[in-house]
Amino acid sequence: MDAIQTQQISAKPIEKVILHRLVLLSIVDNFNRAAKDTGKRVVGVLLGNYFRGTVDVSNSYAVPFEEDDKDPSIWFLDHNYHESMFSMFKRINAKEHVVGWYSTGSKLRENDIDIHQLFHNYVPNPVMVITDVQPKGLGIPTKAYYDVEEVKETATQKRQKVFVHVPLEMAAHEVEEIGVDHLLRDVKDTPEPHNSDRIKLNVGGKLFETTMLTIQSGGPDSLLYALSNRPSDDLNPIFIDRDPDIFSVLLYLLRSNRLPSTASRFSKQELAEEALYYGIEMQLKKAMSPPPLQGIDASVVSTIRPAADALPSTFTASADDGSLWIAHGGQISIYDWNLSHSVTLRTHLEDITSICRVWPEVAAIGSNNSSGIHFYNLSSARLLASTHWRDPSDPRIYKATVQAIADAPSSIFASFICPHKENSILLIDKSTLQISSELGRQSGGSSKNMVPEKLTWIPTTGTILGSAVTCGAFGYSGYIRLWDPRSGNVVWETNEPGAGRSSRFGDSFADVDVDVDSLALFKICSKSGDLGMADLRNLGADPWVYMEDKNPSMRNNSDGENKLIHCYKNQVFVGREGSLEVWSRVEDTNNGLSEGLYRRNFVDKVEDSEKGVISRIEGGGNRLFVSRENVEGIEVWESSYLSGAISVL
Amino acid sequence: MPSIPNSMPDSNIVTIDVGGQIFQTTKQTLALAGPKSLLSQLADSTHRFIDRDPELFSILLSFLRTGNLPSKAKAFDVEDLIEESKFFNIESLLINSHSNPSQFDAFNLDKALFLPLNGRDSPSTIATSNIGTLHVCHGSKITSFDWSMRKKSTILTQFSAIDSLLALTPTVAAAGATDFSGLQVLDLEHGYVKETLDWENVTRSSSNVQAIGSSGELLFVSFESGRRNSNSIMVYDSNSLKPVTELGPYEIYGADIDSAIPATKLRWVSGHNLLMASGSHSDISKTSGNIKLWDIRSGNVVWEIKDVVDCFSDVAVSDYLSGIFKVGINSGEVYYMDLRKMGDASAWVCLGDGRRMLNGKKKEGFGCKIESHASQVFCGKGGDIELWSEIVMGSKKSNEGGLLEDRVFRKNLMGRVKDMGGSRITNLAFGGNKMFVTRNGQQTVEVWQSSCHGF
Repeated sequence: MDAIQTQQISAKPIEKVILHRLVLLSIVDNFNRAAKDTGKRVVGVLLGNYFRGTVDVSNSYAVPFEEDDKDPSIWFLDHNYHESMFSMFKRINAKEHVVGWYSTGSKLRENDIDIHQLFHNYVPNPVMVITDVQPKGLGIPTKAYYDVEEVKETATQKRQKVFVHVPLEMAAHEVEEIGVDHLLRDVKDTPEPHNSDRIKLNVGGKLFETTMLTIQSGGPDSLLYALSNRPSDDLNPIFIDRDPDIFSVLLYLLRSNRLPSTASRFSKQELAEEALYYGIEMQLKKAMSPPPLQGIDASVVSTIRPAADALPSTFTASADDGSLWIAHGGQISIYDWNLSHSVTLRTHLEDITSICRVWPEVAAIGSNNSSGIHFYNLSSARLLASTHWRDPSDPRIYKATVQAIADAPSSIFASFICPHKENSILLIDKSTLQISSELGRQSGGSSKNMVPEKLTWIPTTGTILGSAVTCGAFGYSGYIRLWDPRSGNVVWETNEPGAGRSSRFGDSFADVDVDVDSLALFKICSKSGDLGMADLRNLGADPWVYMEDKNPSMRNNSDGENKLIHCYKNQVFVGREGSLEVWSRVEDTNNGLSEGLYRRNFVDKVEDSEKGVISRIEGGGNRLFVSRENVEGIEVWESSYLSGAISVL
Repeated sequence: MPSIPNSMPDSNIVTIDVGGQIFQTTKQTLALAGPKSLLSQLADSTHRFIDRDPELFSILLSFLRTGNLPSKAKAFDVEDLIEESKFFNIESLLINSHSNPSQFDAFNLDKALFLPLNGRDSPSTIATSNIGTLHVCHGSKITSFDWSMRKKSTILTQFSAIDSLLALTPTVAAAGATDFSGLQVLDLEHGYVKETLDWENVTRSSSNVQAIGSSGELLFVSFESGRRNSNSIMVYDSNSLKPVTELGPYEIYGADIDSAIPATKLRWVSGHNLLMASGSHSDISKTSGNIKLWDIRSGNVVWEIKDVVDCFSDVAVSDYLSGIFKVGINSGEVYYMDLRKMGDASAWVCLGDGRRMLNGKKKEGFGCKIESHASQVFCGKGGDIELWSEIVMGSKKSNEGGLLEDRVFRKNLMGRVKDMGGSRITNLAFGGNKMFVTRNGQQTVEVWQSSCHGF
């Protein structure tokens, strides 16, 4: 498959753009504030979701932009501003991604294709929305485009990108509809409501009185906000036909940003549904989610057991909200942000051994005993696509199974292995779900060219880390390798046991993980059980720094064969047989600069470690999920501000 | 002030709308909340709407009226009430009525709560504050509990184990270890070292902390050099953490080991303005120790005792009882010495079975803890707690002058039958109306509490 075809396929899937009314309103608002009567245009970023050919634009913000009127090739877009804005928006709604950009004006300009190229850095297929803020005719004054590579007749001509028009629809959520109507009323010079104004509500027959400030803290999208925006001459309480007791809990939440103890009268599900009704689920999420995970102070809060085949084969957690996808007995069960079961889906695989979250709704799965990588849409319970490793020039590449999957912004990395041990990492384009290239194909004959069992994408450097370990009669052996997928080259690698220069000869690593935030590589040594750390920015022949363990209670613990390591939230969690420990950094000064002194502590108690050998550790949200071999269910570890005092009276 | 109560009551009655419910109270009641509180400010303002939960407000209002929480408060968690009282800025009133040291009643302590600690480290030392907050050191971590024992927070320190801890303010504590150089003043909220205090010793080795004590204004730290051949007690200003004076130093000369026993316990005797420092040393054949009383202003030892026969395993000093109490390491019995009648080692009066002291080489008292609080002395012996109290014999007490009669002390075992026994007690501490107990090998803290209204 050559490059041109790939590009065309990758560009194809945008079939429709849905623009929310709120976005249009804020584009016009941006123009009126920044560029009215100047003759210039305004430019901004569009946020939303891309799914199956439809781009849903639900939010936007303006970005500083300048251009030379005479020379269209001179322009400036403040992408630093964009990146910091986006990181803030990400905190508000993690599900909104950059989907493209907007511009005001009546037609496309010459430099638009260059600006568009810039947005390819943030999203594989950006859309451009152009809005005429001074419409002349009827109809929607807005058009949407995406770009494709124009294939020229003769190969000598330079390839060029052109814009293609996409159908555009206007849409709005019901709540948004009301909100926009009220915003428009504001535009028509109605006086702004005073936030200190009191407001009376009649919820299911019970009277509540509160302030505008409180009721509007759910944000402009919430039903409560919409309800509060009404003519001030109406003095009757607003009637809402809902349960007053739950409302009083939610009102308490809006007033003081925490849940009262009376909330325990209602189930999590009930509260979540009611908060969704009022449009204040963000506030509820914030109040109900656990505090920052501290390995030194965490306990098991629950064990999630799927209803059938509860022995999990693998699982994955969302880093954003701590929701969980469990693969068990060929099924995938989804547990949402408050860990209540939302759906279970049966896949065609008998045994899922690797699972990866590709989009908020789409899982990539693979199995050790069935070939190919498969993409399932979990909300519609459908198999979207299956991809197999095939090589027309090599008929032996057949029935390759997936060992590990890693997700990156524009592609998926999956390590495939054939029955005759030949293996490779394949890059799968996210928009087409087709294999785009191969990385590090190797024979698999020895421990130095086994299939990578663990793949991690490192976004800061744009590299992919793979590792493999085997345990034989002479101890552990394996490799850690860092590839640059742009060049396809190995950037750095280490094989253990190595040449014997290292003082730690005979103590090769049992597991390795990377802390993508602090760019550090951690390995756990098979024999000594020590933790080795390497700085990803400064890798060399022997980059390892070994951590000192000073905790007297941790000495002489019998080291088993099974060791696992997982980096999460600047902490390194290590599973040794059944016990769970954490290496955390001690800050020695208040300015946060430290030499990286790590301390080792047990997370668990002796009783916990007797439950079984830890088979997988993964962090998500502020939770740590732990599964054990031959034990049903997944343990959820959280930190808490509550003391958990047990009354013995 | 109008003199006719029936015609002019309105000026005094305040009507408040809280979250849609109308409450009426008097200005006096609102003034009880204190000048900083939102409620007392409300009495003077015209805008009397508060956007808070009316049910919780009604509880706080009854609390203001009567000084006690009404029984309907039980429908809510204490944390709700604390959060609500923080909003109105009357948390101190709530603390005053529910965790007041004056409510401490040694005869009415119930084993009420277990505070679980995460991880596998048992508590090494604990520190309390006057209002009953608690800091527990376990391994390299310090877990702090608030006065209501509902909330906790944990920080990681540089120590591998903390041997001495003292709470300076609710969020700042001084910590030290016998295997770590320097005293660290830690911010317990954010988990960083505010300041490190070191002792410049002659051997230029590390300065390990053996004990920490405080008199309120002054902070006392007993340091020992890393080579264990010199020690000293440094006195710092509690607020500025600047050194004020140094008591000592002591160094080993030749074979005189006794002179270099560092103080492992420091207690301030406020009634006499003296600092009690005790330390002991044990070898295969015997245990010997010394107890000193220091006058801070002159820097002199005003009284000193070398304890060789049935040496103490722990010492407590009580202002209220005006005495020094020890628990003998061989006999495991409690002795006392009157602070007004200090003498040499023969002045110890055995409160328990005195005969055991003579035939004892059995180390019955090994690891026993003794602490004084309020008007009692508490002695942790094995898994049990002995409570010693003085019986005041009316007529004899009036005897003034040097001739003090023998005083009468009686002991009780604390707790009900189900509370007895258990692992050896490693720490006893007091704060608010509570007593805190830790035991060997257990990752919990026991809270013994005097019952009070409302909770």
